[in-house]
Amino acid sequence: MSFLEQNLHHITETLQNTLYVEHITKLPGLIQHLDPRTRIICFCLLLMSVNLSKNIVFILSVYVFLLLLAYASQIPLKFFIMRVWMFLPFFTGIIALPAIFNVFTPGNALLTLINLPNYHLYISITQNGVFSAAYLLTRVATSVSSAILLVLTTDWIQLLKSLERLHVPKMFIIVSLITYRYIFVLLKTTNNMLLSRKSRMIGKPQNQTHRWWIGGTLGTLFNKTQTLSEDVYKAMRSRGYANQIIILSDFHYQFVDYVAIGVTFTLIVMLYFIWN
Amino acid sequence: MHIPDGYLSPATSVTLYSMCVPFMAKASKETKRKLNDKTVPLISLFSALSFVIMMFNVPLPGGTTGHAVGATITAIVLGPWIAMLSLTVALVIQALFFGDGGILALGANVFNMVIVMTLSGYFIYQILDRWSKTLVKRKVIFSAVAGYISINLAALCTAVELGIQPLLFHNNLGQSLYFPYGLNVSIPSMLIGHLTIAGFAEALVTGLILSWIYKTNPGIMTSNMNSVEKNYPIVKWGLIALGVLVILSPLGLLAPGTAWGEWGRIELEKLGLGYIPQGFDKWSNFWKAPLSQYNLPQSGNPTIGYMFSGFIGVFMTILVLSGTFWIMRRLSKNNILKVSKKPGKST
Amino acid sequence: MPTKILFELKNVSFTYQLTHALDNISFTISEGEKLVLLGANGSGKSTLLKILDGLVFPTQGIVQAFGHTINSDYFSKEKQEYDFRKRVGYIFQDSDVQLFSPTVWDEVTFAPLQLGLSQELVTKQAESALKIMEITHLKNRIPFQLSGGEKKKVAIACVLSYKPTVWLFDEPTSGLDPRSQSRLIDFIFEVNAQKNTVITATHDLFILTEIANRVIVLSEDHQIVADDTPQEILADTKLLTKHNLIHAHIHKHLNQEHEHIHTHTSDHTHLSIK
Repeated sequence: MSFLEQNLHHITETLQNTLYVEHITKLPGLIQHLDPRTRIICFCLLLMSVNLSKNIVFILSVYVFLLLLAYASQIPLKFFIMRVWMFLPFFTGIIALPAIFNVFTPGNALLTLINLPNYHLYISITQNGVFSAAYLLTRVATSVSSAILLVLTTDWIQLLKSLERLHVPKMFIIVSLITYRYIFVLLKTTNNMLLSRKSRMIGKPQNQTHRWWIGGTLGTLFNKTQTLSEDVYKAMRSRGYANQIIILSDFHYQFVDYVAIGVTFTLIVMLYFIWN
Repeated sequence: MHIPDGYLSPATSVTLYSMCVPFMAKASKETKRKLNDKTVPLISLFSALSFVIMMFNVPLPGGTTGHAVGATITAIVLGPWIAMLSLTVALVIQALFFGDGGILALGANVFNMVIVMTLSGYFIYQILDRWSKTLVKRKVIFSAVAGYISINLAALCTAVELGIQPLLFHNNLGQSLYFPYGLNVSIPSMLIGHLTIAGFAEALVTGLILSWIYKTNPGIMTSNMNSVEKNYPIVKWGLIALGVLVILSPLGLLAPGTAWGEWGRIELEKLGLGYIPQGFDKWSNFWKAPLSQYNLPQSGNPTIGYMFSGFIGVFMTILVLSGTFWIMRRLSKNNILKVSKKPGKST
Repeated sequence: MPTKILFELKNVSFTYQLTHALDNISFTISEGEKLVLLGANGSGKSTLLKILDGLVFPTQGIVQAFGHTINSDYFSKEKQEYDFRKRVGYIFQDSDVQLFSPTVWDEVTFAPLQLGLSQELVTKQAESALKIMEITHLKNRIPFQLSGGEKKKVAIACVLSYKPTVWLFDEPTSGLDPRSQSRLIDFIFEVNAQKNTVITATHDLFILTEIANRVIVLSEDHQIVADDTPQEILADTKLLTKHNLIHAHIHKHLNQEHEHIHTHTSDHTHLSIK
């Protein structure tokens, strides 16, 4: 696949992905009923506990809990699991694999693979190695799953707005909101440039011409971004922006929110005591 | 280079988050002063652009493709502070919305890919730019060099953060709880990838965009946006450079020995390596004297010992660095202060 | 009945990076006028609109609006700027520039919130703006998913939500399909019928008679060359040809040869006007 197609594919995928996520965030599931702030708090509790834990069984129990939550939030479980495990083996899996051998992690041998004492060559799979790799894999999988669960169930815009009530600086929130909006404008522009390039491409051009062209594409984007930011500033100013932005938000804690935070917290504490 | 959650211990993550805070505070102050109410749209738009650049595949010599971060070019064109804010927002959106990079690890990712890259990229370029004599061709090459070096510095920081995990965080059975490889593995494996592939992607993107900007919109380069405050004291920059080096300090401990230097003889035996490399005994005896295998004599606690050695390492690095600065100042009549003054001239 | 003068421009020039965008422009705009700024691309009509909206200030000359001289000094008092902003609304040519908020609802509520209306009033006015533009169903959508016509409607709704008395349109029909164009023209007519002032920058001659009772023609060297009724302007082919608003073409249709007068539309396709 040429780099042009790679990029086109990547952009299209990103755009489609956002549409699909938007669809899920609107389903009447369990998490979708909670206030965005509750979700953030519960998510942080889970993420911290997973990363602090020294017990694999604890981490796995949290993963099971996440699966239950996903199910209750009407997320297709196959999609939820695949989204993590499709990529994990290729990234973290490859990284974790060598750690099981004594070369990287010394320890009691579970399985000796090569033993040639004359050549000072001894390779085995060690218990410590297997555990080290398992720690990494389960921790990453559970952390990523919890993040995905949050992203899939939460309207990004709602999430950012709710952060204001959690005392995140307003400037950061507003910048992120506008950034989010213009990512799509710029992605679309890039897509059009790539397509027009593709339509004019005859034969197989040299990599070098490609590179020059990339300079042009990204350079054009740079210039465009510069003018766009000037224009957007004017558009904001025209409608009354002067250094302050007011966010219209109506988030209310309900009884169910307190219950959710309480349940998550109790569960983590309970699991901790069961497995330690 | 995005570190996912689960690779770093919460302690490391929190440390790196807190290391980002002063830089972010400085960046927002500088940006606000320079742009006033234009800050919001400008940062937003350039965050969106960084996001796009980061997902753009670049064809590299040899038929592979790679991603660039685009931090160096953004820093050169917009100045390090505006670039810092823009890239941070882009990383936050990647982490929160697209699941690229962890949320606990966000501080680490921002530190490596944003703070280290924008500052090193910008200042390497500014230093080299003294020899460009306003020739665009040289500027482009220098920017590419800055891009190449800065992404490798970022990779080095990432490798160090990952590599210290097994040393500091393992359970009493010796099983590593987070990233399982030490510095001896993490540094070479990160650097090989970045010296060969990602480095060129960054260099290409930096150079190509800059040459395009000079061709089509040179006005943007002479606007005062990318200049750093004129009489900025070099001391502060020295401190910032040191901040970067604090992270790198474990390297100082590695330096005298081989890559295996951090492991004592007994640990090597425990490793299951059937033999001890010739001459290792000599080295370890030599090293035993000043630092005693990183452990404080009689402390018994490897973590405290390691940290103590770390502090000594930092202290030594500071000494070496201040020495170098001092020598550099004496050597060049136009002392190094000029470096940071120069961009101010265009305003 | 004497009409109130809203805007008065005296010898206004604007220079940007050494190039002229406007050269010594003077004219007045009265309340309730339907004014079109007609000119080819690059004649400076967009800049003129931005000056009228107080987004840029002239490098030379004076702009008065509602009896005050508009400059950065005047806007340094926040209340004075808000008073001005409340009275003037600007619809940008590129809707993607104008729609910077994450959702349609945020967009429509942005201006009234900024201009200090109470939350209830904001909600009420925003809802009625959406209803008038018939886009209530788009309320929670993300602007990126909207079509060009829908974006333009949202852009108008977000100005409508704070009910300004002066409306500035920059190339409003560009990129719109014929039905959206005609609805937009109806809307401009409607706005003006409610005693609002409408100023439109365009090079589209088709819509001139419908959206203007006065036309100011800007030349390609950024000066005013005519100020008259649309009928008079349209009849003056010489003037229009000279300032690159129409051009003559000779066509061969099968065996028959005849002459058309053509006008550029924004998309640079050629359409005949006769």
